[in-house]
Amino acid sequence: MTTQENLRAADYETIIPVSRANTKVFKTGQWSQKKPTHHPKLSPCREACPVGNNIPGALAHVSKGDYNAALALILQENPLPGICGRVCYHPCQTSCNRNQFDETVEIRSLERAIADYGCATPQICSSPTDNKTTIAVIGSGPAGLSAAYFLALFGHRVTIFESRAEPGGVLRYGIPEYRLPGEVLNREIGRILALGIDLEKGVRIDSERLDDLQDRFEYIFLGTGAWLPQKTGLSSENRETIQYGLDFLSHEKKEIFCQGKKNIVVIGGGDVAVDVARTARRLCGPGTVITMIAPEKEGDFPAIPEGLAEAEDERIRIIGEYQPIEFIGNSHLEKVRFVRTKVEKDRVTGRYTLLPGDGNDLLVDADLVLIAIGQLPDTGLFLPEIVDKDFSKVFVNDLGMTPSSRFYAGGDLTRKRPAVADAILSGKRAALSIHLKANGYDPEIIIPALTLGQGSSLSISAYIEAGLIDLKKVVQFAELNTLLYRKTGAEHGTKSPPETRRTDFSEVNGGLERKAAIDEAKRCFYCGSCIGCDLCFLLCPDISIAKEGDRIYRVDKDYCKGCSICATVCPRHVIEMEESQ
Amino acid sequence: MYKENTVEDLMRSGHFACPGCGVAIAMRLVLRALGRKTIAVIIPSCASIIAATHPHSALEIPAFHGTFETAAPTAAGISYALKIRGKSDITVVAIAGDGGTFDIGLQSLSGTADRNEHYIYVCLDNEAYMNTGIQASSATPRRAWTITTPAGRSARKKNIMEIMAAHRIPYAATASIGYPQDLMDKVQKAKGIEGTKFLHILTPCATGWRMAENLTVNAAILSVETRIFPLYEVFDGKKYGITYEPQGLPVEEYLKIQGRYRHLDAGQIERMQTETDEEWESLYRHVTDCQRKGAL
Amino acid sequence: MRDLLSGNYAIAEAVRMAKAQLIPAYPITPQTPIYERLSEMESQGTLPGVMVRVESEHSAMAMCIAASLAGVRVFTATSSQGLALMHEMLHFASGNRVPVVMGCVNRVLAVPWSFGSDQTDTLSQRDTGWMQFYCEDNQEAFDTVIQAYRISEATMLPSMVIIDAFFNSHFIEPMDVPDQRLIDLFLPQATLPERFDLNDPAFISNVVTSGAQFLPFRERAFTDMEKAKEIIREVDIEYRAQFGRGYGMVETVQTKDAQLVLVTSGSMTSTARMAIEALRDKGLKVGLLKIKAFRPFPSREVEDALQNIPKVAVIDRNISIGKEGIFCQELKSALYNSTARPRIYGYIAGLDGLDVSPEIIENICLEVLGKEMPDNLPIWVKGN
Ligand SMILES: Cc1cc2nc3c(=O)[nH]c(=O)nc-3n(C[C@H](O)[C@H](O)[C@H](O)COP(=O)(O)OP(=O)(O)OC[C@H]3O[C@@H](n4cnc5c(N)ncnc54)[C@H](O)[C@@H]3O)c2cc1C
Ligand SMILES: Cc1ncc(C[n+]2csc(CCOP(=O)(O)OP(=O)(O)O)c2C)c(N)n1
Ligand code: SF4
Ligand code: SF4
Ligand code: SF4
Ligand SMILES: [Mg+2]
Repeated sequence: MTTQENLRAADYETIIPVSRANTKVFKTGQWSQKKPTHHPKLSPCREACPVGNNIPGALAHVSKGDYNAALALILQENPLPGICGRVCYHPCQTSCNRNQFDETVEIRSLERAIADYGCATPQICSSPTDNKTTIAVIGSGPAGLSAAYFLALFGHRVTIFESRAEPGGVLRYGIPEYRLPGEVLNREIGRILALGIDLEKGVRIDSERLDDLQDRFEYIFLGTGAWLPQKTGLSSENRETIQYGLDFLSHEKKEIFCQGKKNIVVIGGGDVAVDVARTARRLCGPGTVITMIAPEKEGDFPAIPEGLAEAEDERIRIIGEYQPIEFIGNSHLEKVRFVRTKVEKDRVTGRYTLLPGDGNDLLVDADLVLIAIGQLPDTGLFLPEIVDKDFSKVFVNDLGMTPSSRFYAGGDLTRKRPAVADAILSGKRAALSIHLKANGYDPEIIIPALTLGQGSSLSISAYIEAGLIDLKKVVQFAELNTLLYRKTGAEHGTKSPPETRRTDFSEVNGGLERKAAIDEAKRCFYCGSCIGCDLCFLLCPDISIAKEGDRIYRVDKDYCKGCSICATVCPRHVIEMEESQ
Repeated sequence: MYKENTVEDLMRSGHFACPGCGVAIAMRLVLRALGRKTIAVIIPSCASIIAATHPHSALEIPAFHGTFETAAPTAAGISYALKIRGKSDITVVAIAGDGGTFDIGLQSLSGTADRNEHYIYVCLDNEAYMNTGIQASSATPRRAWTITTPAGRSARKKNIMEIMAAHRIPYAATASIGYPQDLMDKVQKAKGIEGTKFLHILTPCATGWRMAENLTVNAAILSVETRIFPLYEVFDGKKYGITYEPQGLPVEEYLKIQGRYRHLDAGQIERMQTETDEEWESLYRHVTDCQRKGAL
Repeated sequence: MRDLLSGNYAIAEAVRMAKAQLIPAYPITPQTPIYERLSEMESQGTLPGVMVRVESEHSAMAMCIAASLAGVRVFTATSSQGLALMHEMLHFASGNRVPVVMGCVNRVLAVPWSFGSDQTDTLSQRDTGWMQFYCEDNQEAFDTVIQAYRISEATMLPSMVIIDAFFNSHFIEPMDVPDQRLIDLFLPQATLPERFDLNDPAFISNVVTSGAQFLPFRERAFTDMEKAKEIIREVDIEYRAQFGRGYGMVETVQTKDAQLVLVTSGSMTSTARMAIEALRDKGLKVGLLKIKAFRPFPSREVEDALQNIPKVAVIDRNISIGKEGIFCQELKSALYNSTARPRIYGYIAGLDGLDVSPEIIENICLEVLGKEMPDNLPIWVKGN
């Protein structure tokens, strides 16, 4: 039996190929020098968004139903998401890559959903070792609130001075309730003030007080807005039956102007004019004819299109390419005469000029005229060296600083684009500059580095998480792997029916239901943002992408053959191939 | 020691697949879904080369290199042996190419399917004999160029799924590397079913399809979205269900990224579209029939 | 226990008693009764193993190989066309070093189609790396199946247990079927290597990348086949001790003083035994060499038995077209280097089961004794 035992004991491993050695000894990565890098980039929506909201990041959270995380992310850049989510002119949506696929993602509605359904507290973004300073913020409009918010997050002591009884500026005294309910405003301002900001209401700052503030505070932020009406220059403007937009809207008893009026003419084509017209609609009877007339072409009105459409639904007549030349009537106004006009934009300055157009004059019956053709800042109380007299505004540089180094300014006072989001940006810019300066950093270097793409907006989160996203590379539609997306129409929120709107100041837009918002968030391509879909990880033929945590992937260059599948397949263009040495 | 219930890769880096290989991706996904308690039978094909040459293995599980036409009975043989030895919790998977499945191995595959032997058969279809250098198989689509069909193949691609369905095996499904989760879900579904399970996975091959190597996954996606390779399941050979509703993109989107279709003129592309539409309709009829009968 | 069994049934009985665990099978005359008998046993619940009714012999062997690699004792049986179809898998089995035992019933290969015995089917698998045992009768077939499992599992090489069509396969003979307990003692449960170990996973039988890698595996199979000779002897001795029967790789009958030794294999040997008796009775010094083991080829035994014998007549029930009878060729090559090698006379007889009667064999012997030099080509024996 000995022979048999010998053979049995023989090493079975040697009689046939039994292969156990790990193929990892073969460094197949040497086959190619091309290697991928995960390189989050900027989405065009974010580049366009003045507040620099991390839109794809937030929508990715919403798509998973996580409104809290979404809000936390949004609050890194935007102190007023519930407000922007209702009234912003959404340049993000205009730039959204999805426009080239089917239609834009309803970013604004989603921002609103995040603000309304989410629950989060803003994250303090200073370290205890940072220098702390003191700042007075004058004006509690979005510019002032934003400056105060970010300064507080950086750990500085802030006091807001507001001349009116309640904070909010135009948000409270201009934009009507049917677009921006008071409770939303209170909620958002409450969240800002809860950061430990002092608010002194009913305190109008005049030149004297300003001197006093200079003694008490290191820096002063000016955000007093633009409240003086721009006038038509026509001689017969000064009568009861002619009112100015913001004065009218902020008037405590504006209904008295409207009572019994049959023909109301609103002059102007911007948001203020629309709000004036729609407010007038709610204050007078349904029989009243309300006509909105502006020099721009219909369709080119500067107002946010949704608002205009809602105005039309509320039976407001809209007429373009006319400007008033005469108010007709004696003690009582009877008609307004308009002339044909066209608007020309100067390519260089971007300013509009009104030129005579072709066509007959227009005579419109009117027993009330509401003029909303712009507001100008009151620059009277400021040091002359910081005021631009010609354009009645305060000068600021790219850092939000006025020519006087302890003074910063923002919002409508600086006569940049008059919009909430731009006001927020200006406040953020000034806050960051002040913080950097107070800590001995050079804002001239840092602020451009935090600027999103070619746009003007700034990211605070980029300041904190330096380097996580390449802020200079904006993902183009053609770079996305759209094969992995489906064409679907956007989710639109509900609107209250036009009939009820004629008397009612309750909110017109219902916003998106939770579920609809989740569906809508899923439409987002998440351009340039990794959402941890794992496709690159799972589809690497060479198992060369290791997953090291949520949305953290590491490429193993020893084995990556540079096939570029990961880069090609990533639906969001996060990954790029680079030559490695 | 193997760990249970952990999702991990059972394929190792350093294998010799061409860059961008669809077969490698599919193998990886299949093994991920199967887990460590798996024995693989691999037959001559790109997969066998990827699994590596002696003394190396690119696999973390036991595997056997069988003969070209016997993936099925080899897997079934192991499965019987495991059962005889009382090891009922180990999955046996046969991994074969299209040549090994549609052509030379069809008889033995049919045999095991007929006997409903307990294992999973995975066909990694790259639509030609690639390992031997791009010769046509009966899985090569009509009009596709291969070295042995220089003017394009004249016969249509064999419908292997209908063949397998005709065996009334408990589960047959198509899957695609373009839809990794769906693929892994199907593998796991198959794992839980007693009897013969068949998975037909399209694995685009950059080399053989004359295509850029970064495009294999996109090609797989396009094959689904154009309905050239619809994703569906068949239970018991009768109950059909579409698992992913394709967009129905024009087939040209799929054809144009592949050099093997470069010679097609507009008329031929048109006919490809018509044929694809017809196949899809016939599949859809199966599905709606089932729905009508309340089978699904 | 004494029993009356055909050769096929004897093999089936041995397979049952050897407790083969997996039996993929496929029908082909004249082997089919093995398959049928095993199926009958299975249906009666007396078969310890599992039968699989595969769709081809090729798959049967594929399944045998796979299951064997997974540590299970297997069996299958075939003939002729079936064996030829299996050819690829026969190499694959030995290459994989699986101890498969296969029953083979010799039958002619088409064309012409026929059913009678012809060893060409198994002999043309000569180079597949299988051991081949040609059995003379049904008892030997039974005993050899039992022995083959021991031998194969010790050498990790597959074996064919071969009988002749009809003469063995279908003719019923009285034989001894040992007690199962004794068989179990002789042939315990298989303890084969389990190649698929989840705890120590390996890729089995994958591609080698060079001749340098390939060669050691073939060389190892070769040396293990050489060592098998010793194992065959030992197993046979043990078997004889246990059951009172043994066969050796070859058997010699009255060769010591022989002027002529007749060489046969398979069922023809029994007839040859009678012919030898008759010739001896006539005073002619004729002996017999029965070759049982064809692979490994018992060169030493053959040399021991045949050197110094003046003449050797080989009767082949097979033909290698273009040369001669296959046993004849093998003998010649085995004896080529011996100092006193005999003259070797080749006869082709009994193809397709043609009767090879004692008289035919006697006539062959007489012819050889009277012939000075062998012919260049084999002599075809056409019957009485
Ligand atoms: C009717 C209306 C509708 C609009 N709709 C939209 C819209 O839909 N979307 C959009 O993006 N933008 C809209 N805008 C524009 C947008 O509201 C303004 O651009 C934005 O509010 C400017 O913010 P701000 O902080 O600069 O000024 P404001 O909001 O004007 O705030 C300035 C604050 O400073 C206070 N203040 C002024 N002087 C002093 C002082 N001396 N001492 C203390 N406090 C002082 C004021 O009381 C006020 O609270 C609208 C504007 C109006 C008027
Ligand atoms: C019986 C037999 N005939 C031919 C071959 C040669 N051979 C090995 S792999 C192969 C092609 C495999 O093609 P396919 O099954 O499609 O797999 P792929 O290489 O495309 O992955 C061929 C023809 C073989 N190994 N065995
Ligand atoms: S798809 Fe999403 S991330 Fe891309 S631009 Fe649109 S909203 Fe932004
Ligand atoms: S493929 Fe998915 S996981 Fe990979 S980088 Fe792109 S988004 Fe992130
Ligand atoms: S998919 Fe894998 S192998 Fe290909 S480039 Fe990316 S990391 Fe490298
Ligand atoms: Mg192939």
